[in-house]
Amino acid sequence: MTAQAKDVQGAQLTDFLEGNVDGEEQASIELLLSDPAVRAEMEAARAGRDLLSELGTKPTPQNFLRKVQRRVRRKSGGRHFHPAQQPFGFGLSIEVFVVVAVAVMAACWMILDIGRQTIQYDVFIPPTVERPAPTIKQPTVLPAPLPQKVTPPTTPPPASP
Amino acid sequence: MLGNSAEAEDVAQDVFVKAFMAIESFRGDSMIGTWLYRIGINLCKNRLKYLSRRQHGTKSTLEDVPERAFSRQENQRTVGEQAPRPDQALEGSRAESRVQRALSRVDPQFRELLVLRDIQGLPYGDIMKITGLAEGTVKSRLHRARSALRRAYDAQEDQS
Repeated sequence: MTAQAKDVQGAQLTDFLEGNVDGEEQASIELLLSDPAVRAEMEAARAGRDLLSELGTKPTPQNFLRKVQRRVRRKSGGRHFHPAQQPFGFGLSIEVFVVVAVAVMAACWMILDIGRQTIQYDVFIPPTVERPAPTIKQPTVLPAPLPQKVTPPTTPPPASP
Repeated sequence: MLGNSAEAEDVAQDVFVKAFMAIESFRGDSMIGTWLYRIGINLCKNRLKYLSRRQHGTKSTLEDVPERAFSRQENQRTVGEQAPRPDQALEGSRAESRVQRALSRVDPQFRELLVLRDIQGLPYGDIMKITGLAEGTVKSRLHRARSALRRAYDAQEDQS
């Protein structure tokens, strides 16, 4: 058997093992499997696959992300994941901090503005009353003072004896 | 793939470092996971060459397998499921280490297919993108790889 034919046969057997063959192909593979050598090879492949099904994936090691960040920092000469970029030490970069700060300031400004408008509406404005325009009194000319009467001095009555 | 958990962790970190540094070169033709696998496979191959040059060989992974077996069972246990007895866990970890050792004896070009298909469970389309092989080649190599693993396992059992 040529190498190419062996490759084709191997691919067919893999398809058969994984159940990816249709009826016609299955019949031809079953004919192939009547050969004891091919059957033995097929069983070995099946056993190999079953061995690996017992293996699981390993969980992510502890602090994996931190280790990767440290390596990136070292490789980039401190350009990425530098501690100085984390003002609070919990992974918040300076750009994120600035954006959050601006958003908080905007929110505060809006809240204060709304409060101011509310106060304006609450102010009691008394109704205006139509009043006549005040009349200005013209200064009147006072009459000349009357001449005072000279009254004779009154004598007290004589005392009775 | 490397047969050693410390080396595997080191390479896994390198994968993400490389991906981070070269993220601008990612064109988005494939899924980012496929791209990461490709980086990982290439780094593993390089590391294997490096280790073979240094004759580091296949360091026994027996010492970390029990811990791994316990931690995996802790993570995967569902509510109401009983924890395995220590002797069962130990037996499981021994069986796993035997399979790991047999896997480390398989040719690396076969091993990568076993890891991608039978351990990671990737579809053939992704495996083709990662390895750069045609579908027929992937399948025929996979068939040979599975047989080779079984032979390596049997040979190991005969030795012991």
